[in-house]
Amino acid sequence: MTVAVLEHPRAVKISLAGLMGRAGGILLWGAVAVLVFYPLLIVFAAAVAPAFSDSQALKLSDLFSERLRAASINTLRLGVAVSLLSLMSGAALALLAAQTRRSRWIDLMMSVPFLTPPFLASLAWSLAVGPKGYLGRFGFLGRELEQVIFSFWGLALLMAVHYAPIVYFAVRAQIERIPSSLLWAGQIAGAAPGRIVARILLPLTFPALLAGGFLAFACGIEEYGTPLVIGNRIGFPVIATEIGRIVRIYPINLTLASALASILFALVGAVYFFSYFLQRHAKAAAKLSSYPIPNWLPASARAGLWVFASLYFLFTLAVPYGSMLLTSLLKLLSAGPTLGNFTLTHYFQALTEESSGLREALVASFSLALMAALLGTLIGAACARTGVALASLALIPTATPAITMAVGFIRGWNAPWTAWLPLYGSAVIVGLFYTAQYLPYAVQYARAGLATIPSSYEWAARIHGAGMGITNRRIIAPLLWPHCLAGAILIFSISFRELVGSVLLRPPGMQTVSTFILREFDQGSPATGMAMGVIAISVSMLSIGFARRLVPKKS
Amino acid sequence: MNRLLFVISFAVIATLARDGAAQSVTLYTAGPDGLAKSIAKSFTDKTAIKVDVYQATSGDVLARLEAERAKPRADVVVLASWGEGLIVRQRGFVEAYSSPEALKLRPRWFDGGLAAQGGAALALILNGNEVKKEQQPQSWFDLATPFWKDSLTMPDPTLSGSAAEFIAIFVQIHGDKAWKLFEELARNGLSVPGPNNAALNPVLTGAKKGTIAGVDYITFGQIAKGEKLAIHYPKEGTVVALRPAFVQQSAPHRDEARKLIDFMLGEEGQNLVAKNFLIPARGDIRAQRPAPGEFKMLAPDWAFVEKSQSQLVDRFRKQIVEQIVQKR
Repeated sequence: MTVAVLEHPRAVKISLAGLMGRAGGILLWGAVAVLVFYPLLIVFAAAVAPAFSDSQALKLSDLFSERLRAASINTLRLGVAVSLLSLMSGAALALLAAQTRRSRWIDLMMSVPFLTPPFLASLAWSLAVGPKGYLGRFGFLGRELEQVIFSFWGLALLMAVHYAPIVYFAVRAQIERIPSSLLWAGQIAGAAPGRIVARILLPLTFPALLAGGFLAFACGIEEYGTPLVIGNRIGFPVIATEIGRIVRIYPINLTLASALASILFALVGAVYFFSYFLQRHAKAAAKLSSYPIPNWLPASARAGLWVFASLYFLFTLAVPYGSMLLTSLLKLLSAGPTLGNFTLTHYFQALTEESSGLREALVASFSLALMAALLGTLIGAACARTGVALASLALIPTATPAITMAVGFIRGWNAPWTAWLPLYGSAVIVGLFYTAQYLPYAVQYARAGLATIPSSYEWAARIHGAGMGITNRRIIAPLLWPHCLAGAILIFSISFRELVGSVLLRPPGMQTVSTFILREFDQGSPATGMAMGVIAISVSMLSIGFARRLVPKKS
Repeated sequence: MNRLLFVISFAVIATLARDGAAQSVTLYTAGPDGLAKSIAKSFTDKTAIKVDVYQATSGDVLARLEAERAKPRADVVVLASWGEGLIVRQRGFVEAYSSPEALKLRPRWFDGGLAAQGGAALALILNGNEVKKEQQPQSWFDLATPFWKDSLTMPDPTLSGSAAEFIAIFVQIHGDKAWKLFEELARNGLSVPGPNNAALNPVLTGAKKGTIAGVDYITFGQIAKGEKLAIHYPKEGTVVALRPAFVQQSAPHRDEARKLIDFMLGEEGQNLVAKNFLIPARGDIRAQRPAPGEFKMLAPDWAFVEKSQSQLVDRFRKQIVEQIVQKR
């Protein structure tokens, strides 16, 4: 009994601070309710009582069709494959980053795929492979690679490239917080490198691995862009593309879409429940030390990791971004990559022409992503700190397809009873959508961070008479801050190129980076689209590089 | 946090202030962005009514209309295919407004509240480097030959409204012969990679020789820029995708919306339509591209299309697309 109380120091309430804390708690619940529950409630209400919102009734035969059953199985398979591939590559690269001085470069290279709209990378790939693709023209396995990319594992691989960074940054933040004395002790006691990984590193990074793997799984089953480009060609329908079809192609059936969304939600919920049970007992207990991490990895293992890293970056960066850059430089797409056919006009046009709207799109995406990163991190960290209930509830958006959430936002904020609030039809609602949709990242990162803070610190603070506020400000915040920043950067990156919600929620006249690129692809100029892609990725990379400078280096 | 709140409230106030100013009208369009912008600009110059343009794919416009049902925002809507217009009318989104300008449109390009803003033919789009002039086929039914093996694409009718309409009207005219052709094309290695642009881009880069039922106005624009593409209309004729424009039922700015429709269908608006390589809806405006008459336009039976399009698309998916995939 005593032990149980000791393990939960936060449950102790102190009069005034406790009262303020309670007010903050109510505010927090309110924020999560408004951002997450309200739009979803509206959608589910439409599924249960279609007459209420004037949609069609749900037909069970629609829901249990053969195609949807196939799509559900495909979704699960894809989610697992994406999660495994992301875990493997993310963890391996995080290990390498911990053992090298060039880690900042790896950070940077890992962020690039994250900044890229998923459909853009798959389009770049489809331009690169095939007998007439760029690789094929130069004689590099065009046909063979086409068969690799347009297959189940190719699809999973392309998606994993986008989600490996989630695992990578989570694990890396965790490794930074591992007391290096433990690693030193292992090495001094003569443990082989494999043993150090298995007995020290792995158990201590377990929460981050789980959190990352879970997020990668959730993202994998919810993603729309890559399965649309690749999966459509290989006949691999997933639930997300089915929802997209049902919501966007007449006859639209929003009721069926929300029912499908509930299935996805159940899938993710089950996985989350499982990962929560595994995670429950992971808690660091030792004291941080200021020694740097020892170089315990043998040269051969390090060389192996470097080979893996180069292959990985060849696959994730060199080919797709090379293809993107090449396309953006072509005067005429039909003339192919020949010397006389190169030009910079697409860039000049995009940057100088008043009517192109590129700058507006960049500014809009930038400020909305920033808003989402700040607001999301604040709410997310507070949720993680408040307790399991709120933190788990704040994870709901992971399980919600963006398109469902977007429809919920439209219906919720365009409803007659919100008429006094001119939120819908302004750019702010897009930012709030990003915040809600990516809140889980902030929560997961903050939770992984909190798990590394020994509870003895909080006890020490309490014994010395510090209240909740001071403990949070002076002890938790400084230790949590690198995790939160990593989460904020992630939210910024992914919001910066978000597509589904941006398309549906943006006010008339506004474009974001993704909608802009998609429009170019739809209406004529893939080259201009790719040029925008290159500009947008460079801008956001520069800003992230700048944000990274804010992190204090571990002494 | 305080600063953030300040920024948010500022943005809210700014939008409030903007909404309060002057007359305005909201246009949702699945059309070419350039056309929407130039129409908005000329209309504002002429009437001092501001136009807020929301431009997206047909699917996104439809999803947004449906989601905003409780409190409509759009005043004027332009979609990419007539079939979508018919279904939207069935769902009660279309105001029965007959514009005085509608009388001047081509016959049957106007029907109970829906008026075609313009049209695009669903043609055979060919890569000019890969297909010589003399290799262009006379007929749709010549495409199942070895020359075209593994080198044709088609937009996926489950993702593209205009491709769905092509199938419906082609089947309406040719019946079982149409299905036989589709099956032969599938056996000959037809690829159905996705929406319109996903089918067109491989042709642009030369990975494929041609696209069946691609929307042609985008290609005319690319040819004008110098791309080596060719547009070909087989002798049986082809489907013209009419782009229905209408005033939304319970539009918040009804009078301005009607004015915008009048402007679009008027001489000035139609000239802008022509400039974007669409077929103008009025016969008296010169098209900058072949117009019906210069190629054969298949006459659609809209009652048939409305009734059977989704069934036919479903059959196409099962019988053609899934066969292609299984063969891989």
